Amino acid sequence: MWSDVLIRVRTLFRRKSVETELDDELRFHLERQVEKYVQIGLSGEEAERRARVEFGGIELAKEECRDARGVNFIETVLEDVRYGIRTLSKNPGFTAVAVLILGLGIGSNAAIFNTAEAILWRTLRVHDPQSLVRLIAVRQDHHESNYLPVELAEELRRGGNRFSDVITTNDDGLSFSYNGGSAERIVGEVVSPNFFTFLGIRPALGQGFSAAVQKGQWAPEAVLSYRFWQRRFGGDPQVLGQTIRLNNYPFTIVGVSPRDFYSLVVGFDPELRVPELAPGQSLSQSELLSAPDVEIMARLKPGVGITQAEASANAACQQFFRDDQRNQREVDPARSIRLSPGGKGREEDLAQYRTSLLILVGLAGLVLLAASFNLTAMLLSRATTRRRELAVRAAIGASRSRLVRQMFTESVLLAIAAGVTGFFIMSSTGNTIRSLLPKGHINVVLDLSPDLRAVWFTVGLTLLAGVIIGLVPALQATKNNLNLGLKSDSAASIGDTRGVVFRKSLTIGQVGLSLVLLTTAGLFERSLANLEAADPFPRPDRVLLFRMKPQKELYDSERIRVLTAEVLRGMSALPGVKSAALAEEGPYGSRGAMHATVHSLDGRTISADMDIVSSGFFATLGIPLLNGRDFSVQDNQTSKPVTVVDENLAQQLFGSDSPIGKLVRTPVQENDVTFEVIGVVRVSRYNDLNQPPPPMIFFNLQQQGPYMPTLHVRMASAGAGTVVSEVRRAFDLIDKGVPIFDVKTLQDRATDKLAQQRLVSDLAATFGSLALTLVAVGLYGLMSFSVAQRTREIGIRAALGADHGQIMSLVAWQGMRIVLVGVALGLPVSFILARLIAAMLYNVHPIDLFSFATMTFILAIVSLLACYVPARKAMKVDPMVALRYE
Amino acid sequence: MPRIDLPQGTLDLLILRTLALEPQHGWAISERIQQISSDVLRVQQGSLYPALHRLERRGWIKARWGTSENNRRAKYYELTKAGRRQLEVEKDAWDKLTAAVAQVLGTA
Repeated sequence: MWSDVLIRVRTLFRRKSVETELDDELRFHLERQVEKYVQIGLSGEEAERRARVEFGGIELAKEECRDARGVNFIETVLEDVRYGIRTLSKNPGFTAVAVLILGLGIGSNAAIFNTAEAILWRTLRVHDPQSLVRLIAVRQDHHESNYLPVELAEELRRGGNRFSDVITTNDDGLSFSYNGGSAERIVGEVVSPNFFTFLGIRPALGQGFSAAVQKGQWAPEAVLSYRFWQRRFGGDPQVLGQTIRLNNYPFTIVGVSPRDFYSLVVGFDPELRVPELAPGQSLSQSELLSAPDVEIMARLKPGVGITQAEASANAACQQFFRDDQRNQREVDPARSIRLSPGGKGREEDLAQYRTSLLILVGLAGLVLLAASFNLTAMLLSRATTRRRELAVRAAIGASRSRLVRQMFTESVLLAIAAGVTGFFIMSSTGNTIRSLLPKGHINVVLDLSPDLRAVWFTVGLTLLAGVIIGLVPALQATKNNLNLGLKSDSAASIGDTRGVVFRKSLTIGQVGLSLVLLTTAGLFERSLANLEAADPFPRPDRVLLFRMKPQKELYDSERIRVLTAEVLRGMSALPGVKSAALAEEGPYGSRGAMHATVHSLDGRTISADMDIVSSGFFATLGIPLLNGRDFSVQDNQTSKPVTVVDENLAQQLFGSDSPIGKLVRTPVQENDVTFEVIGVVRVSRYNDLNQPPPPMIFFNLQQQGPYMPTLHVRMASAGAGTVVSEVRRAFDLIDKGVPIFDVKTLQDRATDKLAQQRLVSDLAATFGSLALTLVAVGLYGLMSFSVAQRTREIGIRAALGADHGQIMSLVAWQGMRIVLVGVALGLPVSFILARLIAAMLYNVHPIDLFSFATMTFILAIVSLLACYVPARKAMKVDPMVALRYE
Repeated sequence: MPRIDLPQGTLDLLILRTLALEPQHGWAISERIQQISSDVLRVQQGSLYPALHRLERRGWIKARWGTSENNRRAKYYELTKAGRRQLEVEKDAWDKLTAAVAQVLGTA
């Protein structure tokens, strides 16, 4: 055993001397043999000849000796790699195309996998994520909620033995200002002071919360997120110790959290974190600091299982819920808790992306398959042209296995280069994918930097691709009698039908795969177009939206009313503005639909979507008023509550009666309020574009105070630039302390609403075009090869009188037959896939003839073009030259 | 006299047996085998050296450079302890095999 290792190592590291020794040993043998023959009377020449003949192939013996020493494997691999690199760099055009094709295939898979991983599977980058658990309240009616009373965390910390520690988090919008500038709206997270130590996160800058704060002595300290620090402060290290204002209260910056930490919620990256106030204390400027309900995360003690911990924690929690007065007063009080693994953070927000992402992962897989087919075919045809080289190598003693290994090594090298390319594609597509994610009042921020799992995935794909593209061409090239290769090329190639058949099937496979990808993309694209067309508002690109957040801690309801009236007056008068109105949310808002239960006085009840809007809202958006009137300034705090409903609601509650003047009841902050219907508007898709609109009811902003309203401005013409700055300036004049944010046109909002559909549709289209390009390249390659091989036949045909058209159609038909078979195979698969994605389509039948016909047509046109060039070449074959060529 | 090519697997045994007498270089080993077998057995010289290297790797023989009978540098192989044991094992197996084959041939 030991001698084995020693010899291998010696052979590997002292290759030179070992080789010399081998030479010496064999030379000695031969000389001795020659000597012997000379002694028995042969002439020197004859003796030498006999000795050599007797010995046999010296190189072969050496090779076998090297094999016997056992390190030959590593050495031949190194040799193969060197040789492979030389061969590949001798043919840079081929290599570049091959690496690009496979790199795109691997890259699209890696990029999609990385995105799916970041959204669905990524573990938090914190200390020991596996021991983290989230606490979830289970309410009386079995509803679950992430928010629990803050005192429960205190209770669990005292309990001591179940969890090693507990943290709380809670987030909301804050009004941020710095150096006397205008207020900006940010999202802050209020955390228990042990937040960073609990998670084992060391700040990228500064110390984080001071020791005093961590001991429970509250101080206004803030830790910025890495990205907010970069964006707002340009990454300036001098920010430490600076004062910022949150809801006007001064806080000191004590740190910046590390770059790779976002939050405990997937897709969420709060701009800063501040410590929560101890129970019982409060700060009038920010209710968030002393919010009664928070999210709770705990760390299991080592060796404690999650069910075990849940059982013992529940004993304390159930008691706590029974004793908690506030809980008992709720309509649906919490009863117990459930523990959920917390290592991946809270992912519900983006869980809706799961199906889309999995479909995209699958589609990307098809692209890689098509790319592998393409490359296999390329390598096959190259192997055919390399016959001569292989035959020469075989003749001077390379065994078949050695040649197979050599070609295989080249394929693996190609795959590795492609893998590296793919990795860069993945790393550089982060921004593109991020731009496809929705942006609302809280941005979805994803950590898309590839982690170890994405790296391994890429490596795995690379090796897999290497094996797929490498094995077949290597075997194929060495299968037939290699001696043939030394004879004339054309004589050898005529018998080579099997390789061509195989390449044809690969091309057929590519056609089929690309048809599947194209039709899928076509269906998604149609669905998206239908959704976009469902947007009912006229010229949404001329409606500008500004979200504003007068912090309720700073603006009482009277001040807000004055503010909104002033805003409406000021904005309507601006140049370039036709009209302005306010709504609590507006169409396609990122906060989602608000719901109301509406009762008619005769006892009918329906659930409706609602919004709270100012007068002029319907006109600004272009929602036609069908009956009655809009809200007016006369409808105020002191007059009777009024409401405007849509046709849909009027129809469902009042049938054919005129709804004007009718009364409806609906709960407002736990009191039933009766409203008089004063107007009816046309039905419009207000929230979801992909669902039939539910009944809609509008309340009056003057009567129901706003919380985070959106200003709607209809511009006289498109082109938001000057109007945005005009509006911002006007806001500053009215009140610098109100943050204005989430500024976009109504069209942008509709776009955001369809972000997920667009993500799927755009990526599917990208994959489809990629596959289509592959088909074009593959078909072109195959047909050129075939024309080159059939030069003689074509020459004879031309000599016998075939005209250009006949020859052209001969070649074109040969190519299009492949396409036809591919389409015939691809269509059924497309149909099956279409059925699978039917639920994701809007107003598109899964077997949508239009999509299928269009995509097949596009595929056919591109294929024809790909065949055209080789066909032209065939047409120009000169019979004389072709026949002489033999 | 007709010469017989070595049956598969016997070369190792013959090398070990030859080296059991004294350390030898490759050429001498092949000569010795031929001599002792009265020129009946012929060692394929091309396969002798791979076999030697294989045995060396297994630790049954070891090599050192020495001076040959004609005063030249030559690679000498000698049996190791493990090689001596292996020789016994292979010799036993060989005896059993030939006895068994002879028995079958005798009775059939």
